[in-house]
Amino acid sequence: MSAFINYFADDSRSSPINLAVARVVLGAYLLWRVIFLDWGFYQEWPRALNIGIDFLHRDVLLALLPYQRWLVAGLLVSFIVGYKIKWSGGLASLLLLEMLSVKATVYLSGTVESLFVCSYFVLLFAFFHDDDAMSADAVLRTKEKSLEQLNRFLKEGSNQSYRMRPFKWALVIVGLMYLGAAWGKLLNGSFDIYLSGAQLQRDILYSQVATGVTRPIGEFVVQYEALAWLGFVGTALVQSLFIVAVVLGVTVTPFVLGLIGFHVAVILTLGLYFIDMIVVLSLFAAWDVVYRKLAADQTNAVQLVYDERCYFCARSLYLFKHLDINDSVQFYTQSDAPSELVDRDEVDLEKEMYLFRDGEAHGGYDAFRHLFKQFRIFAPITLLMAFPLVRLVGERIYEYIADNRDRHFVCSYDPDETS
Amino acid sequence: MLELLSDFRNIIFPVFFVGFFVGTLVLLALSDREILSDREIARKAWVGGFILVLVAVTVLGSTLIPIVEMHKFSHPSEEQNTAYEFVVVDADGNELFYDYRATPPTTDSRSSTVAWRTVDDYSDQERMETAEFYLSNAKEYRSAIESGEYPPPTDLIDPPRYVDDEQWTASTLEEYEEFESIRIYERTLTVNEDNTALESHDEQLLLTIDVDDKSITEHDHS
Repeated sequence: MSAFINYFADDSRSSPINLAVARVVLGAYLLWRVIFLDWGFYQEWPRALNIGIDFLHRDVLLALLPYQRWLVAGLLVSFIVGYKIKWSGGLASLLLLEMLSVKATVYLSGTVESLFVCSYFVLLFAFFHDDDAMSADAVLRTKEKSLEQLNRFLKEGSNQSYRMRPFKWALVIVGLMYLGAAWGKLLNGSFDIYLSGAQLQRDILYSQVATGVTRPIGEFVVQYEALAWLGFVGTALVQSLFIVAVVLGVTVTPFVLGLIGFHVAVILTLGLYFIDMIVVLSLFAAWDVVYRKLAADQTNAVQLVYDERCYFCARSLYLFKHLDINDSVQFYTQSDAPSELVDRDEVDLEKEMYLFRDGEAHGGYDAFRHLFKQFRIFAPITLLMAFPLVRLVGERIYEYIADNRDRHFVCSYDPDETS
Repeated sequence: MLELLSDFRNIIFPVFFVGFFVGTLVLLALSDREILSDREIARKAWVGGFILVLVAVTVLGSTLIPIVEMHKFSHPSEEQNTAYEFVVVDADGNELFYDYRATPPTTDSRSSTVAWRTVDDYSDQERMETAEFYLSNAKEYRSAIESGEYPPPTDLIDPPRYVDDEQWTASTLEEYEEFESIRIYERTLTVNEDNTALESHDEQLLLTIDVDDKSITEHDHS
């Protein structure tokens, strides 16, 4: 089992978790960067510094940047929850690429280039938006399924595999970027630089003077040429072989770990260069494996009984079923619920949904709270739902939905009947 | 090849830039539609086109915005390194190395290029504009530090600055009168034979730009 996945070799997984994790992490990370970058300052620069793209150093484009920031932020929020990914992700990415291009007229550093890479990744999400099965879009798409199909999915699960093409192509793009880092040294210099540690030793020494900061590890590396050579050549090797491993379809774990190690070494010797790329590389981790270990297993199983005629209920439970990769929630409807669970006075299946934990019945709002509790990643939500005020509001909302589900929420919907 | 392309840079760059956005929007709109009996054709076209350009950009080492390459630290470090630095000068003639937090987002390496261009490339008018920009921002930044407005309350959640060079503090600035002019120094570093330490560190004054007097003095060292 690999810590990092070569999606180019196989772009499908048995769970949709990884794509959802990447969407949320990538979106949240970009949101943070976009909001806090000082977009207003670029218009103060008297002229473009990067000749060649100075056609973008226009007053109007520079003046728009602080406003575009909020537009991109709004689109990214929509992207993070997975709502209209095709256009929220697509437009957020394109707008951000335009903003970064305008920014690049003044400054194009590794940090900015990393944000370009993040934007390409978001654009891939937009192009392959229908691969994402754990998004608001995916819940909305459940309206294309009949109630029978949804009930079957909740009770029996699915053996389907989930394609993750955004990862597949992002892996190629990131691999090419790193190849460029190794290739650039040959393009601008000669092979001789690979024969000694002088290159890295000098880079560290010059950086110490330029920044006025001396780092102990940097100082240590400078004193040992063999160590500097190992660092320099080792970095070039993982940078250039990463894309080779991707395309050949072999494991990428040693290369991704090597690249993360290289980034950490740079931070320790030179400063916080390329930290964004650590986030990008971490997106290719096998998050579903980590999640499987964290999630409740069948020894802590609970039973959930819902109204099989309620289309709204079945759609609401859709994401929980996807999250339940260890089958720790057994879904039942009134017609097939075990009698030892439901044949008791306090249980009224016509009134509300029930979750049974160790035989104890939790109905309505509490059923949902215990359902969230079953997924450890929702611990903060479970805690929040226990607060009296939140509980009061939550119970009212649940009652309203339960009482009006025939009037306002479509029940017993069947697409075949409407066609 | 690159030289030939650079002759047409003024056309290629803007045309590609606009074409990228228009093309991406069109292909994104068509991304889940069936074209020529193939529902994937728009996606394949975009991914194929993007990767093709990325390969070209990576091989040639020339960014074609908005498609970038990451040839980082790709220039060989020689035994001798030359860089250019901005220095701010107060009314008494005291010098202080510029803190580039005053002119975000640049750091020392990009500012070195600006300083070099100011000395070597720019007309006197451009030199004066550049000096005014650096001086006025130094004054603003200084007053923010002295009034306690810098760092701002959001500093803790701001993305970290990747170069953690020395920063002006209120106590450092106490020793300085009002900033009046900008100077540019050439810094030459030479490493010893086994690259374990600096052998020499020379600073040479190249240019003084007095913004108030509108005077520019080139310091000749020949």
